[in-house]
Amino acid sequence: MAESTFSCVPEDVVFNIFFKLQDDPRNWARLACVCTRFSSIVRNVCCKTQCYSAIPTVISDLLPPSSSTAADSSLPPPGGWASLFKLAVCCPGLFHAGILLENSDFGLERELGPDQNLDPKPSTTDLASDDGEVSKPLGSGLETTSFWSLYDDLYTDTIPAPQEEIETSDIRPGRDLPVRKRRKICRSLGSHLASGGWNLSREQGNKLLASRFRGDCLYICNWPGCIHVEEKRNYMLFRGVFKDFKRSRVWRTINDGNHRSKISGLKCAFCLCDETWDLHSSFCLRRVFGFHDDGEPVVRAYVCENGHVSGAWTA
Amino acid sequence: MSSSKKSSDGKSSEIEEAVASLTMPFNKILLTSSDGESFEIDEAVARKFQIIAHMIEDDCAGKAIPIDNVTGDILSKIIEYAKKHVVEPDEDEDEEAKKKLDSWDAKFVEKLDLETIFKIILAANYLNFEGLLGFASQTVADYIKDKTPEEVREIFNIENDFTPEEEEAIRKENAWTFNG
Repeated sequence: MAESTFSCVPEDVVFNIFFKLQDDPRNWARLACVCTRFSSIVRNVCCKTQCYSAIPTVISDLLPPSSSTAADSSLPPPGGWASLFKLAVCCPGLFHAGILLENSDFGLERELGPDQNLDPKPSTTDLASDDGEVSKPLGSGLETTSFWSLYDDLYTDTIPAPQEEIETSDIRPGRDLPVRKRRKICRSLGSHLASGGWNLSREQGNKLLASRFRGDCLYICNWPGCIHVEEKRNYMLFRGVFKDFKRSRVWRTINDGNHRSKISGLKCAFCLCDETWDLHSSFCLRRVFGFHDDGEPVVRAYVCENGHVSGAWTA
Repeated sequence: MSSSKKSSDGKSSEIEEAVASLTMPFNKILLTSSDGESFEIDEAVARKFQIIAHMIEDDCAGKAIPIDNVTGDILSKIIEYAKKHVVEPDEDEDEEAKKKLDSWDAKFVEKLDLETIFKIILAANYLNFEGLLGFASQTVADYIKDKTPEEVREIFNIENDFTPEEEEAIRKENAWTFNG
């Protein structure tokens, strides 16, 4: 029986097999859904190892000072290794970046119909991507990994799907749409594999926070983040993590404001936190960012209790 | 059969290699599988299995070595692979040979079902045959790459042992990879 043979394979050999799939993080995420044994290996070993190799300086900053640098003897960062790994590779998507929250749609309320004037190769960015082809939007998109338009989202939303959870009438947070790995343009509402690099840097974080929070250490993914082209404007989605968030000035400020900036209905994209706080309305972001003419903020950012940040810059 | 390695202590290593290349092919090692099948192989081939290489170094290798964890059918496959890979061609120097060997490897594994590949992995791990372990692991990885969790369960014949709540939670957490 294949079952009994494979269950005899020792953990380190299974890990080695999994590790050969490290190039595409989605493989590990899918393997974690297979059974408890795989889930444990992925979360505790694969993610941890990959975090250490991809973002070692961030790790040494994020972990409590008492743990050593040896990969196998450190406590997990807040939210766990799997969350941190996901943060490194996964774009939060329009939903978790809070773009769909406002009452005003900023041009996002879509009429049904494919987006005809989408330019798949924006000239504004120079990310190295040799995958420039865009396939046509498909009528029913349940089985493909190619290009989606919002038309497809809404079309397929009308098809009954047993696993969905509906939190609001327009937004379907359970729907997470696949995007090919090296695409620059993303059209999905939910989280997906981020385009661009998987590094986190502190300099970007410094650019985001208001000056009195410069003492806090915020790591943000590489600029310009994952680009989402929408009708009115482009959104550069980013994600990041605070070092020692509970002892940061940002958290103190949020507390002092009596958690007024808490956003209901917006969970963290990366960990199990149910609540997030709006960094813009708690005045933690640089004031210079301001608003667009239609009232949309130039930068949004939302943070959870573990210090995970999801947000978006607008062009 | 001459070795021409030039090193700073050139003489002694040259002599060692010359001696080794003269005596090795004549040394035969006998491996016996768990179900009593015997295989006589050259020492050079046997040395691909680190566990046996160590025994030879430590002079513990008698004429016959029992391999209790591996059945004859699997052991024969492993030996077949080891014989082909006694000398690994240098990718830079001999691209042609490397290509031929890769092609042989592909055919070798094509004929095997997954169950056999798992057994080979277990055996290669036991014998500490790194080359085959890596190759077989890569084969399995290629099998499961880009597959959905349901497909992976089917491939490995694994039972879904999550509780419904756990399953829902982990699905949500990893929904970003799925097609819906």
